[in-house]
Amino acid sequence: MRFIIRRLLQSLIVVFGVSIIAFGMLFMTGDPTEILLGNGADHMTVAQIQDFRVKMGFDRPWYVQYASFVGKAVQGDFGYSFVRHEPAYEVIMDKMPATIQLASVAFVLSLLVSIPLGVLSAMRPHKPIDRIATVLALIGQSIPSFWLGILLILLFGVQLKWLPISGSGSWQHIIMPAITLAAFPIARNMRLTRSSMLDFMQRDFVRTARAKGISETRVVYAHVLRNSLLPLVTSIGLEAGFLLGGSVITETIFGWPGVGREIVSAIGSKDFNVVQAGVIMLALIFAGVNLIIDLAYSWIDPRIRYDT
Amino acid sequence: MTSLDQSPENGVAPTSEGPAAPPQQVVEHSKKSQLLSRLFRSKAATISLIILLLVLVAAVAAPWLAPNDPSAIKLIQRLKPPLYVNGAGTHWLGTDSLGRDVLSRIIYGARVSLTVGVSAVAISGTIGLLVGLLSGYFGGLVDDVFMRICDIQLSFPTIMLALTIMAVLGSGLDKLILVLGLTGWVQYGRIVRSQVISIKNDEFVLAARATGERQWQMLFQQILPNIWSPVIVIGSFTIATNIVAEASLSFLGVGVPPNVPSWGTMLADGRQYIGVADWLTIPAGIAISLTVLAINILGDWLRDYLDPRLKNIL
Amino acid sequence: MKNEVLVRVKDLKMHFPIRAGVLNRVVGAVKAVDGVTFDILKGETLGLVGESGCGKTTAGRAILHLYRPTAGEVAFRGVDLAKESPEYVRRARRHMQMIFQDPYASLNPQMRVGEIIGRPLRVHGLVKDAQEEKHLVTELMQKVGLNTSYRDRYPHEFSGGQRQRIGIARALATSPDFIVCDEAISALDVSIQAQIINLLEQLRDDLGLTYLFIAHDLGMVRYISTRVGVMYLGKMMELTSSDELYDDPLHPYTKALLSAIPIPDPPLERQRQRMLLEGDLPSPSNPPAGCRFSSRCPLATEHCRAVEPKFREVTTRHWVACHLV
Repeated sequence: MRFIIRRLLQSLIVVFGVSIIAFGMLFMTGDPTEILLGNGADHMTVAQIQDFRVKMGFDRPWYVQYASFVGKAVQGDFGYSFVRHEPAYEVIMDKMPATIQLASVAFVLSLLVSIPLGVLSAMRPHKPIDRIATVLALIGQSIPSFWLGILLILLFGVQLKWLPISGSGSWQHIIMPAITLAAFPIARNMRLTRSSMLDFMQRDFVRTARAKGISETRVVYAHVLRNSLLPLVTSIGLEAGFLLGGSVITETIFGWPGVGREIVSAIGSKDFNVVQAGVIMLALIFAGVNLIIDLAYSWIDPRIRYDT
Repeated sequence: MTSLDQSPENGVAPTSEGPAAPPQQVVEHSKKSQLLSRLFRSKAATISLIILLLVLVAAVAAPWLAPNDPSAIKLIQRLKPPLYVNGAGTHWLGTDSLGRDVLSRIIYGARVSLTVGVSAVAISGTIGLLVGLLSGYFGGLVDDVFMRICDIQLSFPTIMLALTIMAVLGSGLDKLILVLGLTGWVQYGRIVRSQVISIKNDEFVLAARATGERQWQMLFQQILPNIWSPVIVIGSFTIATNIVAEASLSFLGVGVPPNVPSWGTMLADGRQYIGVADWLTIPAGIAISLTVLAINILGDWLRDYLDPRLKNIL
Repeated sequence: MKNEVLVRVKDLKMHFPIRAGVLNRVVGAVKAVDGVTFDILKGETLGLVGESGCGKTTAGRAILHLYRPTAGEVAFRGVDLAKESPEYVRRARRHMQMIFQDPYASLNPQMRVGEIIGRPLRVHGLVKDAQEEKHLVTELMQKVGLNTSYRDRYPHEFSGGQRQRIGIARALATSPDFIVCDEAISALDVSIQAQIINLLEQLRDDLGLTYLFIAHDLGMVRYISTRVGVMYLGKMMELTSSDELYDDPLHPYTKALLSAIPIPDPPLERQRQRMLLEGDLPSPSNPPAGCRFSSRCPLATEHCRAVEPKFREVTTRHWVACHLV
């Protein structure tokens, strides 16, 4: 119970911090009016600029502005999109399903590939299959996602013409973005599974199980794997953050109509209400996923509740 | 290890009797020559070192190595294929959509990558080291605030944070370095903090206090020398992360300005002509992947060399 | 021996808070040292013995103000350190040093021997240049029997006994009057223990040092100490000259401890009446009511379990805390 309360408090602090960052970004260079108007300010009179400032409420003290920003944000009001001419919140929420769809597919893909590969590696350490998997993991962790995306487009889109290079609509469209997004988690989870398995194989209870004459397959699946997957569960929380953050690049490369691409194009058109709404909504989802995972984890593994 | 005993305690083996025997045993008088001879025993690490040295030479000697001015625009020469495609022409790796020489831009791109990678680490490393040391050593309010910052940072992908800030500030090499430095210190600080906590209660720190050392002497002269290994190892990995971040942000158009030759901006340009001119993307992609891969391999190797126990945390 | 008091410990308490819950409230305390009183005379060696967990190490550290005592007074040469500023205490450390139990953990693995020994000199501004420091370090190394050519080696290159010599040289660097030897020989091989004891004894006689010698090995303590105090669960049980303690122990706990020492004489060993302690050491966060030892004492009465005995002088210079004496 204590753990749950503390964990909820932590989430609240996180949400507060995110709101400060999103709110503060307009003040980073001093005057938000300047940022919003951009070059347009050159064609306006001083009085017009001042009018705009008052209309936006930028003449009030920052804490009043922050309070009204938060007050509106909790009702889903992030202001108006200057480009799309609809509420920023709706612009973002329209794109949210596509982002969640891509992240989910990438997530499932990363588990489906990384765990079996990690298990295979750990069962035959330093044999060819392990070496190949290790090299692949190293490459997967080093190759920047936008370059991987472009490589996939060059190979499967341009050369082989098997898959559409951009957009969404059919199941073929999601294949390359999902692989691109999943590459890094696959590499990391594979290394994690492998080292965790190797670690558990040395433990006494596994040796005992072997000594009792249980078949090697059963030892691996019933004793080692089950325990080795626990550290993987905690890293899933961080992975959610990676998938949401990585969506910015992946969606841009493949023209995937999600929140990440919307944020990038809103940045290009200086449509900052949309940027704020997008950043906050992604952070909220991430904080929520993390909260659920932590609570679930504390339920699976009682030890965690007594830590820190 | 040689036995130094001349006193009557000769029978005692000086090795392997205490848990405190540090893994840094290898790091000794002949530190540097040993480091290199150990490195050359690993083929992957040797190749990585060579790649990195090449990148470094390219970055430092770019004005002498580059066949052309990387920013010289010649629209007549635009999108000329590289030599390896048709064996004709004067541009080894072809030209881009504005007629600029791709090879020269790749060479100058090394400069941008390394500058950003190393300078941002210098910033985040300094801040992270200081905050981690203070927060781990003194605990209290500093530590509480720092831990909350860590919570927030963990829930906010660094790339998103850098992206939003750069969006507002506008592109620029100096701003990019500053933003990556200021967003990257938290992870640094977390690891330093955990290292400090794990050794601040060691008896040698208490012993230093007992002899009358001041707090700052214990922190900087007793504890700090014992955590250099993780600091160096994270530093090397962070250089790679920063190089990718620079390229990613430049790719998205908020990193360095489009005219600056960066591997990220080159890929962004090349993406427009992906079906027409693959020489705009392939060299830049290979350059960045090889550089990052080489740094990561060397980082792995350095970690195993300095302190294999770090495997569990890095 | 003059009876000048060097260190006066009065009702010293060292409690460590136990925190729990969301708000990290203090829910209890480990009473590691719970009111001990004794003097350490100039030039003497006071032995402090007891089982592990009895609070003797904590007492030693609190006396040196490595922990800020919860209550009570530790006066060094008549000055109560608890009332002085941290900077005053830090400067005072010049005169009171410590030798640690674990010669592996107490030396910084990243420092050369010469620096480990020379640092206290620099920290307290006792040398004006590197030349002088080098000279003094050489002297110190000779004093403790270390080959001076090892100055640039790292601690891991030495054996346990030699590391302990490094620790001793470090403690001697500032020419202190008082040294707390915290289980300084427990981690060493038996053959080396004697050498280190001899070294400590010789240094004491040559330099006029005063020791607080903390140990659990009663044999060694008897050999080196002038007086010996016995601690149990944070309290002093008995304190007297070492000969009297071993020949005529008064407290049942002391008797039990002494009867656990094997006698190297089989016939005598066989006929000896052993006094065995039953049960485990109670938790120092929740000690028994009345006499602390009552839960394990074979002689305990109802009175013992209800009223805590006073620590009183039973015969001349022989202090005991027991109702039955």
